Amino acid sequence: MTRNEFLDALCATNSKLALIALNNLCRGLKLRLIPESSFQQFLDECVAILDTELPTVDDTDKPEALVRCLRRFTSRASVMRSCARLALEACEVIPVITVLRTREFFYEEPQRTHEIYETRKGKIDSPEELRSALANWSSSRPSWHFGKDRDFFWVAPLGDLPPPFDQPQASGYVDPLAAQSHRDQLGLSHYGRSDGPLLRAIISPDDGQAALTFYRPTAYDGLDNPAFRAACDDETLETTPAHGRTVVLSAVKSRLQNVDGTREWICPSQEVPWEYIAFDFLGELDDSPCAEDERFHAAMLAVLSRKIPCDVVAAELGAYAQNA
Amino acid sequence: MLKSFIFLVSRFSKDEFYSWLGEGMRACYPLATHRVASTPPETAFRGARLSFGQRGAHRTAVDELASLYNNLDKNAQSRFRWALARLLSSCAASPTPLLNAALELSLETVCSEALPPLTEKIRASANNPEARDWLCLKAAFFLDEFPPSLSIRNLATAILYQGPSFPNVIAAKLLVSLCRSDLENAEVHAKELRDQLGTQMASLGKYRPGFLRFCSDLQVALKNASASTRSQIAKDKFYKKLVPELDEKVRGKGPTSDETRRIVNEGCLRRPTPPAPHQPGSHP
Repeated sequence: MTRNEFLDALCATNSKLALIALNNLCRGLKLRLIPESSFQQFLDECVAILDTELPTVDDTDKPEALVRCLRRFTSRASVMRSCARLALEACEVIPVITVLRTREFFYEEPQRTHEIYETRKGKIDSPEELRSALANWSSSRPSWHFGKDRDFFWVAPLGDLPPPFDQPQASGYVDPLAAQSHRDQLGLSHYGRSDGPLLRAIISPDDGQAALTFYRPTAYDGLDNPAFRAACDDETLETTPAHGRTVVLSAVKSRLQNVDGTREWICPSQEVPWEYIAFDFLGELDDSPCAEDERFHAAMLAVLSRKIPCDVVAAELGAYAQNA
Repeated sequence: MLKSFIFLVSRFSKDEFYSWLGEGMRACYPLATHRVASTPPETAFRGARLSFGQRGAHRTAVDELASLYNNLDKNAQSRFRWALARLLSSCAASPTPLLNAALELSLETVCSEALPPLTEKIRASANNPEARDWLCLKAAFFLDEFPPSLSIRNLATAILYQGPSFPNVIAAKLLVSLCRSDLENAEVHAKELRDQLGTQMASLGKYRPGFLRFCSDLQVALKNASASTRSQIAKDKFYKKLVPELDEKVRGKGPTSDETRRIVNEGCLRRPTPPAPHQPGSHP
């Protein structure tokens, strides 16, 4: 299989998830956020895998296998992939936030010995329980390891969230819409009811943040997220900033013209001392993740197609795939 | 998950399952001090490149394997559990990431075959308090999530009687589990557990939902006990104070933390002789 045969076969699946990913790759290439050579290497890796795996796959499974091969490259270590990245050498000194599930939080607890000790998946249903768990945690370890499972994690500036979510929450108070609002603004399309309560961590702009390195996310980082956009509509080669921008999920669903969310960066996995982190309890979501919703995929594809129509993507990527 | 992949795995024999699972798990969770997967599951497990790692990078190998297990037919599930139990047996009795992942997977798949090797590890770690504490904490989730059985009773009695003391935080789960799986000796176990349960109750008193859940679980567990067992337990000063609280719970009240502490402080704390270890096949 050649690179172009792979791209053609992928487009022929008519998978919206694949088309979203391809559109982002195309946009990233046009704005030189990812170099052509890395794209060609990426395609070669896909082709190599397919050449090995496809013979063992049933014909009915083949279209899905093609899409999976493309999307699997949202690598746990993609931050460190060989492609060039726009690193923020002098990052603004601002508090940044990241959102995590209570399950991730508890999974690492060394002995889960805090007084609640109820369920295996961890149980934080209130700000009080979060405080209790934190007290136990911080007495046994000096820091929290962000992005440990994935080798990277996403951050957004706290100040970019709309009020009242741009401030640390008052002790004991939980806004009933906090989880929903954070998911919406940060484009966390894969979070839903089954994830249980969410937490947010605010990393202060002091020494805690100094250890972090900020990168602009690229299409490679968003291959498995249908709510990812490689660049805003108004970005050009001359005006490309060193940050990504989330899409507001509700704006996509409503097919609004402007779906711009907050600025966002990607950071390599990092331990941050407790004194530079503030955790807030966000509560639970009450619906399913839109990452699995076909209607959302269609709406997102419509947003992306405003810059690069679907029927052009294959041809444009084909040209990038060929150039030496 | 690709159907071809599920089909491929579902045809594995027991030994092939063991080899596939062990190879993948060892690649994911090498002997290290933390649980970071050094190799992502889609790469670590043979044939899984287009099936694992598709639903977000936050999915761990345990998540992926549990999902695969749920897609297998009953016979393949049985072979999978056998292989998992064998993998557990092959792990050292120490808190390694590999053993942690194997135990988590056993919980996710309700692998009752994992109970004997876990019990064996708890016995084997009698001289290693750190490892034993860790194993007991993990074992508490098995006591909580698995149905009563001889294996569960053996696990619980190994925690209670074989080796040094266990972490206080699991005392309530241990008592409830023993009452469910070994009602004939509930009275002896209840006396044996009084000290550590008292310590845990003092903490749980500050967390009313946990305390009420324990009361409710205990009430259900004791429901099938003989009248004499129930009356013996009720004669005990500690439980005599605690059991009436069950009725309070039904009416929507619970003890305050001060009340709980008083109950705990009033308990008399002499240890009885433990019953003889259970033999296989001696389930009541």
